[in-house]
Amino acid sequence: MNRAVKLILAAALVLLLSGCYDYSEPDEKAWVLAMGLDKGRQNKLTVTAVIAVPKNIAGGGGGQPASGGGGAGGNFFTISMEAPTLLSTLELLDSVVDRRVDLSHTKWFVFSRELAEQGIAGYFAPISRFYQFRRSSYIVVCQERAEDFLAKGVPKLEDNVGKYFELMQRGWRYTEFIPFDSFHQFYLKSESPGVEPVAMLASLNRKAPVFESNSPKPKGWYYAGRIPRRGGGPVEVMGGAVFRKGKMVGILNGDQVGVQKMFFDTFRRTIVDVPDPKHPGRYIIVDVKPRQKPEVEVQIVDGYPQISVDLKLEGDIISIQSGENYTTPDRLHIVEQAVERILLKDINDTVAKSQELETDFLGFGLHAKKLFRTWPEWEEYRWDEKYPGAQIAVNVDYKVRRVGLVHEMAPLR
Amino acid sequence: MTQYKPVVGVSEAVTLLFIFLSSKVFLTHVVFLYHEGLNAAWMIPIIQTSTGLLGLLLLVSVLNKFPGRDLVEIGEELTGPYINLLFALYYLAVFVFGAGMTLRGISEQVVAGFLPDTPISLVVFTFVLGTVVVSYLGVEAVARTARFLLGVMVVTAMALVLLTIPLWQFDAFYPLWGGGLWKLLAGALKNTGDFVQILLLGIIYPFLPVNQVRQIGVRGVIVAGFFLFLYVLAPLLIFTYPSATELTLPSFEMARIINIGRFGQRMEVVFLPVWVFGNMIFLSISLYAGAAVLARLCRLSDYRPFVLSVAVFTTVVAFVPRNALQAAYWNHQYLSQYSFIILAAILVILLLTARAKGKGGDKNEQGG
Amino acid sequence: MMSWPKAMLKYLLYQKPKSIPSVYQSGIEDKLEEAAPQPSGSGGKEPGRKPEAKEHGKPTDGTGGKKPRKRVARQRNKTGSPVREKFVGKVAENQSIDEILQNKVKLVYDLEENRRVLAKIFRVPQNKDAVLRSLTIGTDPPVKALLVFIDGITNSQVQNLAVLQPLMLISGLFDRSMDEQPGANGGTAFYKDLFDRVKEALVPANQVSTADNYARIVDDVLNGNSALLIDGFNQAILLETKGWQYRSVGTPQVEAVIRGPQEGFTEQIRVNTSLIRKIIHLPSLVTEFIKVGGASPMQCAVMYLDDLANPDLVHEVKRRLESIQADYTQVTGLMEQLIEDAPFALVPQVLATERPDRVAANLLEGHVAIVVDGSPFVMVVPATFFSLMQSPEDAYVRWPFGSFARLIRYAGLFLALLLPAHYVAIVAYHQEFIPTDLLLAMTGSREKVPFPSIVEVLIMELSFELIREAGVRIPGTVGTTLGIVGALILGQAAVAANIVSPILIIVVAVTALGSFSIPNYTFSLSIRVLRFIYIFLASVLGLLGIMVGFFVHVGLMVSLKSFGVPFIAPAAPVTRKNQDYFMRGAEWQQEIRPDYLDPLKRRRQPRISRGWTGPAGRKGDSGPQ
Repeated sequence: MNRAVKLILAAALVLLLSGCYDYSEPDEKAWVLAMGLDKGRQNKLTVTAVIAVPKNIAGGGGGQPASGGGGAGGNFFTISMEAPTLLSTLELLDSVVDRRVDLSHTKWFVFSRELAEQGIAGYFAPISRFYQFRRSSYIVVCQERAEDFLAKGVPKLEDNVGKYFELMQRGWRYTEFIPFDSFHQFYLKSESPGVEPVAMLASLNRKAPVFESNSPKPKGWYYAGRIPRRGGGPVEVMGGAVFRKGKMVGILNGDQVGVQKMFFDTFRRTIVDVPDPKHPGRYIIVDVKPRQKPEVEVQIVDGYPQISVDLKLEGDIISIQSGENYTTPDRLHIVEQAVERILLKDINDTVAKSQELETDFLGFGLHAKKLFRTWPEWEEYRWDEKYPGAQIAVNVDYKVRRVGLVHEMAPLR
Repeated sequence: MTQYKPVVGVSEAVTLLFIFLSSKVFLTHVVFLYHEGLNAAWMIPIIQTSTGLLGLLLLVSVLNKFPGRDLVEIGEELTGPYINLLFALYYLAVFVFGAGMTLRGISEQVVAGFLPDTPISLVVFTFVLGTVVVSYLGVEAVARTARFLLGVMVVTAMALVLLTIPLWQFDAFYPLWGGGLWKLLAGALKNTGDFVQILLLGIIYPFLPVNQVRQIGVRGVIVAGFFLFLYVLAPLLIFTYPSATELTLPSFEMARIINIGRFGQRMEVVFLPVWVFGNMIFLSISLYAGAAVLARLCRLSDYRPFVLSVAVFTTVVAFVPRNALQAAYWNHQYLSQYSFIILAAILVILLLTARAKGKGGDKNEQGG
Repeated sequence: MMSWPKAMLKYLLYQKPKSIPSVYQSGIEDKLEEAAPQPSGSGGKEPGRKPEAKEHGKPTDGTGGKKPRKRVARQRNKTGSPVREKFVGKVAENQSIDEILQNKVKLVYDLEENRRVLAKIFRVPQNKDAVLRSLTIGTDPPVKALLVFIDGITNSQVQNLAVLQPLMLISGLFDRSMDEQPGANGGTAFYKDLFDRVKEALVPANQVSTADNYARIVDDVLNGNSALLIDGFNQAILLETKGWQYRSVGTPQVEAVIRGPQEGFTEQIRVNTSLIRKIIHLPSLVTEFIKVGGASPMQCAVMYLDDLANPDLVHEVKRRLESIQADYTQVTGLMEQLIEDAPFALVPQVLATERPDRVAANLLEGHVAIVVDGSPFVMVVPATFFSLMQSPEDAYVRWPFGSFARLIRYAGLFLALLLPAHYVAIVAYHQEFIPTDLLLAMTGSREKVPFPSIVEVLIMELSFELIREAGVRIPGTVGTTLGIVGALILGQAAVAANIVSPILIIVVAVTALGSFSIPNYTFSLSIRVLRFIYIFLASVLGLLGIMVGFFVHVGLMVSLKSFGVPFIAPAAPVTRKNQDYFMRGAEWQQEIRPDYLDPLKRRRQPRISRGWTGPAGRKGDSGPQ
């Protein structure tokens, strides 16, 4: 019996020698770290691929130490190709790049705003079928052409532009300005009735001034392409692009993205400048974190939804500019109410915006689903049509938990 | 005195049965349940498990009348060689067809996800080779292999589910009743064939510890039901209803989407063992059981000559569908939908004949 | 003769079932089946099949029966070889000596004739080792005698003081005192005859026995005893005079532990058995000596606890040992190959250890130990996968650390077996799994490497094997150079020369560490070999190849048996077990002996082994409070 097994094994090994179909060394593949899509000039699309140059990133072979990044722009290069579809570009790229182009490490799929506003459903949905593509990658909308965005977006800190893309996106954990939705959520929200996705908004640095005067504005008013700044890397990521039925319909600024995240319980923290109620022109700076999941109650009255939302937040006081001593138990509520006021304003703005855009990117539909017994009933209700007519009441409850390292402040004299 | 030693112990038998029942969750199969149950498809496995348990009790009640004999022998005793031939061919069809479709399915998955440039014939050949060796070594080897790999498989399978928890969206449960209660029930009853593999118990019955077969069966079916439930539920929670129906391989997509930090991404390779081992154990069992049915049918004392022929047969069946899609559809149409009713009918016929002819006794009397 | 395709077909398609009682497979508890003939599964459907009783090991079957016949025929053909024809006289003489020994020719009464035959057998006078010393026993009247022994393996001091001196000098003295006994008649009243008297009263050696044939004398003399032949008697007295040089008991060389006994076995069987008996002070510890082998009859001891070990297991061990016909079996490594169940399997199926404490612990579990003279390793059977992965140290340190050590060791096993293969598979097939940063770093460092990854891995693994083999063979005095050479080749030079990528050095180093952490040397060897198979599979089909290979590997491993015990017991098949097969449980949890051994006593310590914890704690305490 042993001999029989061995004979079979031997025969198998001989036959298997014809294998190795998929054998390929990592240095025989070109690793695409991001793809960009634009409206084409000479064909339907302009597809841009960001391809890493490993020898510069690794600092050359032979165990020598990395040689300081290998110069600006040396760590990746971009190729833009005119092609009818995204995936056929993969083959087209191979006529330019000596190594086989591989998408399995792609982090970002960048769409130009121009293309996004025309509708990108036909581009992103079909690639989920392709085995190299991953649902954990991200959809980014950039204000200018994606080819410029990717070619000029050389990070300052990173050698590996892929790491830059990933870290930039992971900012959603500590700022409210970056949307959470990966391709996975983006895709699901696009397909599900009752909710719409928000994609990351990115842009190159704007050269012209954004605002005319230096009047006070909340920091959350900005969004990518409209951040007043000098210096830093060429790329900025802030705010979100709202989609409906695969078409970009609007832009959310930083604060509005934060509100959107609050409703999906993906909001982690933000810093809010609260105008001091007793000292105009001065700010109380607080940290805001979620305390519980948002409580959303939906009722259907006369065919239209009535939505009441309870948002429960908490946080720390980081700083009080005026030096006013709010940090006694009986005076804290002044700060809390001020915070609630300013948050409520943001939230109401966002809710109004979503109704104005007729796009339920806040996901009220997901809560409305619970009112229905079966799926067909829910689909028949046509939430998308009813949502703009919904009455939405939001209640914010903010509690200060800590006051930082200063217990009670003595005013400056 | 018992005639047969417990060749396959309780733990190994439960392992065999539940892997044989539930390895299908790793293939396209689950998606069909989403079409039946919409977003409440997770209820279908629960109903299926209860029908599976009913079928199992029927099977065990037939088997326990004739201790030490398997279903083919019992059929021959009760219905004679000619009718029994039909029955046995049905058993054979369940094993060979199931194995063929699974072989094709897992090979297509490997080609689709891991080795896109490799010809499918090579992958199929590799699988057949591995399973033939193990099933040639006998039911004991298959059972022990399954038992030995069980730890790896259960840990990996649970990890696959647990690592996706951050992606679960519990609003996917609503509307609670999916397409409606009656549609759910109809969908579940239509797909009872998911538990047709309890037939295995009838083939390896002589090697199981006497008096514990019912317990083995119930435990196997319940564990299988649990995994079926888990792997229907998890993709539903991750991908939510309309998108979940689009997936070709839900468990594979689950593995691809896991994202636990920058390091823990693109981890589908880590879960390859559970797909490969699960389906290889399924194939080994099928090959062995098919060979055993043939051996009984031909009244040969050794199953081994048939292993290779069943393997060839299975490979041929695997290549009959023109594409991966057809393989998945056939598996659903022919195996998952109607097979269980036929099995139940056969069992009822056997039970009635036994009662009419007054044959068979209680296991205690016969076994003594 | 069958043509080879036919033969292959025969193997591929069908083989006569190897006395498997049922259609399907044999049972776990084979030994039960010995008792009753098997009522087989298919009832009366197997006409003409003998109900063979299933034995433990490889049952003899059709194929097994044919081969020896062929071999005999070949031997017969060789009888007419030119060498034999040239030295025909010599051959005839050898044959006549062999016949004397084989036929157990009896001694004769004539001392001279006995002396002539023994001289012929021992090739005296050419052979200077064999000594035939004539002497005269100083009785009244003096009697001629002959002392036969082999110089060098006898203790000459014992011979002088306990044999020659009493016989030649003191015998007369004793003679007189005999005569003075009342009612004595020439001393024959107390002793039957002179021979009896010599044996009983004149040789104060501690072990004495008699022999009546040449073969017995030759055996004993070759084992270091002396034979005393007395004129006029057709019997010889065999005297215990063994005394040869051997290594003294030292620390174990291979299985070192930190906390635990520091003695190891030596090459002397008596010392080895005494080392075991020193630990187990039980009357039920049985040491049975079995002669194994043909041309070089030697001693081999089977040790077991009579009230514990399954008699079937003991019987099977003895049966296998007794049936061995082989030239040279003085070393456990050789003996092992003759008694193991599956010679083609890559894993060891006996546990060879040089630690008496380990043997003792195993004996107390119900295992059987085989001690072979001339080898400092003792075989413990049956061996399971888990026993091969254990070290005595696990039990000697407290259980959390023992368990941790085992976990590390299993990780080491996994790494040693599969790490290089996984490296190949992931680098060449599944690059998406590598984190992007690492992938780019690896790709960058590979840019100048001319070889594909698989070749790199093979180069490094083979050179590592080379260093390891050289390390074992290298003379101790130049041993230190090896480390330098190895470190240079494997480490810096290969990377600096752009022959291998730097990450591979880590892979090879970790693999090496993993394989060194496997406590059993033979098992570690098998892992070293299997590693290359996995590397090959990985290079052909990536991870799928590894998985399929592993599946088949497990399949073959679980169907393996060591003396009737499944190799992976108690994991598959699942049997009752202690907290001691995978992880080491606390000492007071070790309540039962391994179920797969079917020992006569199952429980090894009561449920409450720490009596002081209970209310009726101390011994002698009567009742609570």
